[in-house]
Amino acid sequence: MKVQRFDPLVLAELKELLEEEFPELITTFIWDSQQRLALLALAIEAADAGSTRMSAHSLKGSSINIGFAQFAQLCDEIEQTAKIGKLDNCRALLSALLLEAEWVFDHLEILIKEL
Amino acid sequence: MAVTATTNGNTIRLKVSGRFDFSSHQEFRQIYEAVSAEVTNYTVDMSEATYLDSSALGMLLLMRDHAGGDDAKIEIVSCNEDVKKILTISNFGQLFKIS
Amino acid sequence: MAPALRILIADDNESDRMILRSIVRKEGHEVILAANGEEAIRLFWEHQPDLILLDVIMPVLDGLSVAKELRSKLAEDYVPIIFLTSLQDPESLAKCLDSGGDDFLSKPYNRVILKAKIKAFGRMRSMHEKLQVHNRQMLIEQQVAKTIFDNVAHSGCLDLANITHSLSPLSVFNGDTVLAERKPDGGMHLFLGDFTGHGLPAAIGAMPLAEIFYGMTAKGFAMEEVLREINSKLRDILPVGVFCCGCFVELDFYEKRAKIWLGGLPDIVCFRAESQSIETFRSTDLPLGVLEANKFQPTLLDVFMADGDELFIWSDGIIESRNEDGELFGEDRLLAIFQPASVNTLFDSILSAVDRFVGEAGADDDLTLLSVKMASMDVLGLPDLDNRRGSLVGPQDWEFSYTLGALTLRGFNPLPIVLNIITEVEGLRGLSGQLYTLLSELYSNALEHGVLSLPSSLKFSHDGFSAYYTEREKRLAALIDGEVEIRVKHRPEADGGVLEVTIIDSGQGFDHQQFLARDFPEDGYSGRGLPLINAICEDFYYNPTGNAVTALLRWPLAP
Repeated sequence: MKVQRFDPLVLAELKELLEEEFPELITTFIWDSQQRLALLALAIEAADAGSTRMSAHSLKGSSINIGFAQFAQLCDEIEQTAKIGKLDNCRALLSALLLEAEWVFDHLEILIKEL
Repeated sequence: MAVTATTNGNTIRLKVSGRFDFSSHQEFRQIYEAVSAEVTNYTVDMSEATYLDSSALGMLLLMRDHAGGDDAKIEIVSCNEDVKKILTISNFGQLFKIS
Repeated sequence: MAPALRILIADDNESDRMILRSIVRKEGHEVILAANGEEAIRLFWEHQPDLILLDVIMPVLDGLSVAKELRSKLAEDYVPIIFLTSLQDPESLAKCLDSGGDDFLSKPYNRVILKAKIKAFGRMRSMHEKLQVHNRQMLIEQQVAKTIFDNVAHSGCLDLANITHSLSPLSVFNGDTVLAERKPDGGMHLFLGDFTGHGLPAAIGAMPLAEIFYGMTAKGFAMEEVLREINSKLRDILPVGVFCCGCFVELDFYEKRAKIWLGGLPDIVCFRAESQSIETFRSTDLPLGVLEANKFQPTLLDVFMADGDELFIWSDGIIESRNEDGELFGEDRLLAIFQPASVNTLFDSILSAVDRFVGEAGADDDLTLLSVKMASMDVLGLPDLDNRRGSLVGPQDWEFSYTLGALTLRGFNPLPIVLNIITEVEGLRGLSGQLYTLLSELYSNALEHGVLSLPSSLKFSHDGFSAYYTEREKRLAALIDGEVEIRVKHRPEADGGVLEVTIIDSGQGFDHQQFLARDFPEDGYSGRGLPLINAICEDFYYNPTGNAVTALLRWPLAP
């Protein structure tokens, strides 16, 4: 299912909500997500389904709140795949996710610079 | 508890199903208070009543008072063992015709 | 505008925490943040928030566990819990609710929705708090009402050795009352009542009932008179449909009789000490407060009880106690307890049987149980009646005559009134019991042997007394001619006074010689008849015919 890669309205609302704290939110999100991606990679390497699901689930939640639906969907795919035990498939999905993450982080960094 | 009523000429038959207790108060009262002037005889059908407590006894007294007190014509019918026992202990047979 | 709440937000994701914090603060509320379940619980107890936003999936301790823990510790307080989740499937959501959550908020967090939910649950919490305040208020009011009731009802003679009773502390609010009082002639009245309904309406009826019971019993009124008065009072003040099921017992310790009235209560039991078996007695009358005064005709059962025989009276609370399976204790189980005496008393056996049966299903406070044993007057003694009156010394020189004709003799007991007048004399109040017994003895001789011509020989065997009283009722009902005159005179003297009581009947004469010569089994003050009369009267004599008797009493009594 094709989802919107990024919803600018969400970010706009968040900007209005957080005001001066908005840049902090973005940098926190980036930092946090990078940590979780690392943990996710480790979990998949270790064939740890439980940790894979938890990390993927967490990333899904936080990214959806920032408006990056496609990123979130990729996380969901990893979560569901780990749920049914097919950890081998997760590797490929992880690559796709990491690519998407690059795009998201770049986009956000540009956004902050513009403020 | 559910109370249903059917009127036949000058008699109203109130059927009580389930537990006849405090929760039935409103329902029961609304029905007998709404009878038309033609109705002179009351029958309370207990065939589906499972239980009767002291507030139910109170309701029967209230109905009797509404129906004319000592002149009221009220029959309580189809009582099961438990219901009959409760009515017997309180000697309500002195005020109502019970079967 | 909704009041500001203190809201605890528990989410392991920092950016999510930041977003929620902003939303909640912008709505004017105070925020406490937690990053995992353990921190959430600690901060909850520290800050006492009004509402919790709880992430389901968190490290250390997850949201469901937090919710379960808090719910179990919160008891009566209510704090709304809203789960934060991106879970969609019904089973997961159901699990959230089962662990104590009230609602969910899904991601992405929508400010409008969150605002609405906070408002709604804020309202619920404030309603809950109002309810708690109200409940606490009601409990206080009940305590006050109970104190008033206790002052009116007092415990009478419930503490006597031959009476045992069980009543929960707030039983009056279950509509249950237990009363007991000595009569001036040494007898006893007992009453167990079960009002319909609960709470204050049930309790309020108990107050006039207790007032009448104690007042009239202390004055020497008979059981039927007290019952009539109670029935009329309750009929007047209680709304239609509210009534009092009850058992009234009058005990005569001289004649070993119990008179029982039973209206609307379950069967009562008499355990016979000698045969170790039981006899049950059935309710034959409508409860109190139902019938108008002129329709109230109490049926009294006359039962002989030997010393040691015990009456057991209970309200339906015991029979209707339920165990965890919802099963009723039932009358059969109760009657089966009356086996030959075990280590415990029968009374304790009943209570522990119900306790065991109900088990974990909860302490059912509705265990109202009363038992009384027939005992000897020597053991009980005469009652110590505290006659509080307004006047200090009372009337000193007076006399009156009260003549009762046939119609009156049939159904009216003049003794309470006469005793009342006599005890207006302050110095005689301490002798109420003896005076009543004296009057009672002389009056019944005059009425029964004089006017009704009943032979006293018929009385002296306990089978015989039943026949005697039946014959007495028969002759009274048929009485057309006859009269009893009561003359009382009092004169002051030195530090006391002299009371002279004369009773004249219209009969042929009483064989007073035989009466005076009779050998009485009891002795001392607790005795009746001649020993008592001789103990308190300075002089006592019959006229030659035997239809007039005079008793002279000088007070203070010679030591």
